[in-house]
Amino acid sequence: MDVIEVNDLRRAYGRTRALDGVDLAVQAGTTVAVLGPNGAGKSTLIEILEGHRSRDGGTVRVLGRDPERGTRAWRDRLGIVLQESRLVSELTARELLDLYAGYYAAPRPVPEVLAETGLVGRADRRPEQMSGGERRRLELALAIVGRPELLFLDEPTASFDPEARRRTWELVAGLQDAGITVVLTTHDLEEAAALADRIVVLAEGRVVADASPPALRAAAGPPVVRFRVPVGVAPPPLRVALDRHADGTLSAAVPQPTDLLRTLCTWEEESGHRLSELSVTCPTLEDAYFELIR
Amino acid sequence: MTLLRSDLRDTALPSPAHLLRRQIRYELRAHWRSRSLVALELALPLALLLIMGSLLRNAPGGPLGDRYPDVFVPNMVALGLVTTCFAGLGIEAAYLRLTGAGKRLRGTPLPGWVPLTALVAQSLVVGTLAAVLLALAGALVLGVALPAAAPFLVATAVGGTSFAALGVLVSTLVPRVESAPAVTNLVLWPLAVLSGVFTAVPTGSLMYRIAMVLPLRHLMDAMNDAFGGRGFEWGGLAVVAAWGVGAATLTAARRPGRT
Repeated sequence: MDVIEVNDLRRAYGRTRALDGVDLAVQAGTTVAVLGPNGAGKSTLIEILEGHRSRDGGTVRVLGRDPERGTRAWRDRLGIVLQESRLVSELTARELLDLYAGYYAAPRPVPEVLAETGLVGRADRRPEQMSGGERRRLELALAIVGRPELLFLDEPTASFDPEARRRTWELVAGLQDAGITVVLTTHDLEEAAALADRIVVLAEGRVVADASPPALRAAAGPPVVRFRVPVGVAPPPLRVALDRHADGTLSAAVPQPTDLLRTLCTWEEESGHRLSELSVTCPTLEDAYFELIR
Repeated sequence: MTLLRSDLRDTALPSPAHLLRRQIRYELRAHWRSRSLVALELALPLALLLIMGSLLRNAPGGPLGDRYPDVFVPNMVALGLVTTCFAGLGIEAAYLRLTGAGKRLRGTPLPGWVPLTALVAQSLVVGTLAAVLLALAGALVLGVALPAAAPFLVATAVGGTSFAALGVLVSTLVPRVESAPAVTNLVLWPLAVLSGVFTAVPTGSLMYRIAMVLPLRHLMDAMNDAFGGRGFEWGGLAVVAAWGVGAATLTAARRPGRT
């Protein structure tokens, strides 16, 4: 079942087309990461899905409803972590969670949410007495206290240190295991690869890729085998085309690098020459991403 | 640990009335912990009342009272109410609008009108307390008679509600959250001086004629009548109420509500 269905979504600001015919479907229980450079339309898309922004055209259904006509019962099923917002600084984390829990029909127990987000030791502190990472975790706690079916995370780990980021990933993975559908935006490709079942890349208001992280990585091209032959020695005779680089190394892009490595090892044994700087490099998600948004 | 809601679907959402009461309770708790707002709304008017009232204790009061404190205390009660319901609320409403706090709340099942209504209610509670505190301080320290209860409460309710509407309207004009105190105080203090809170403005002067169009002068007159035992000042309160209705209408036109 699709939790989110978007067809031909359009939104413009003046003459700028923020979203220009976006199609998107998100199945229940999956995690989708929306990537794209600044100005690609990510925030506009997420805000339309959350019901915070109107659209110019197209159809949008989120949990079976048009977000522009979202009811209280509909919002009861959502959790939202905004990209940027301040918390009431005069209330403690526990008080804020108590307050928010009271908005929902079937909230989770506050101590349970504090434990899950690693905030037990910070429960009686106010947001202004917390670190940036702790405040972000509190925002996540506020978003899950209502027992959401669908969770929007807008750059959930921006400005986190590596440990805090890893803990948040574990937390989101736990939510996924519990069957919660997650839609997140991020600039962090590693985060997208770690958390998402699917990555949607937006560029200039259009979806330019919609695939799993391995499929997206594969789209960037085959692995590259690179090596250097000794000075004055002719390169080994190979069935694949070699690229010569400015530093004198040679490389070939091959779908099955083991075949080429076997050939190179045989050449070494038969010729008595040694290859140096031998490496096999797989294209990264980052390579694929930059290829797509170029 | 229960994460899924599949077995909890029959649970009903809390009623809007219950949510409003709860939101007001939390707003009050947060408000009392905000030292800057408590200083602006309670400490500053109280200090002004005591300092100026003591300095000019025996100065003449003009047509409305024998001594300066007889007029100044009701004026300061009106100003204290306005400081809370207009300036304090304006700052908090701007914070709600500009920091993303309101947007986060709009993403929850809380009815869209509850956060602002709770803020207004909180400011009316604090404003009424400020007015009572200032009246008591005027009686205890400066020997000014306490006001008649009914006219005092009516003036407080009409003045507090109308200036709250004006505070919300001004909050929609604040461009950045950091400038909210400057914008609200920039309106409040010239208005206070123009309306003659601290010293009488000559009748018939240009300043007086301007002040008679604005709401604070009329609220001060209503408070002076309540303190002086002259009953209700319905004409002045009607002007104050008209400003409130106008402000609420303009605000509603600028910010379409959501259920």
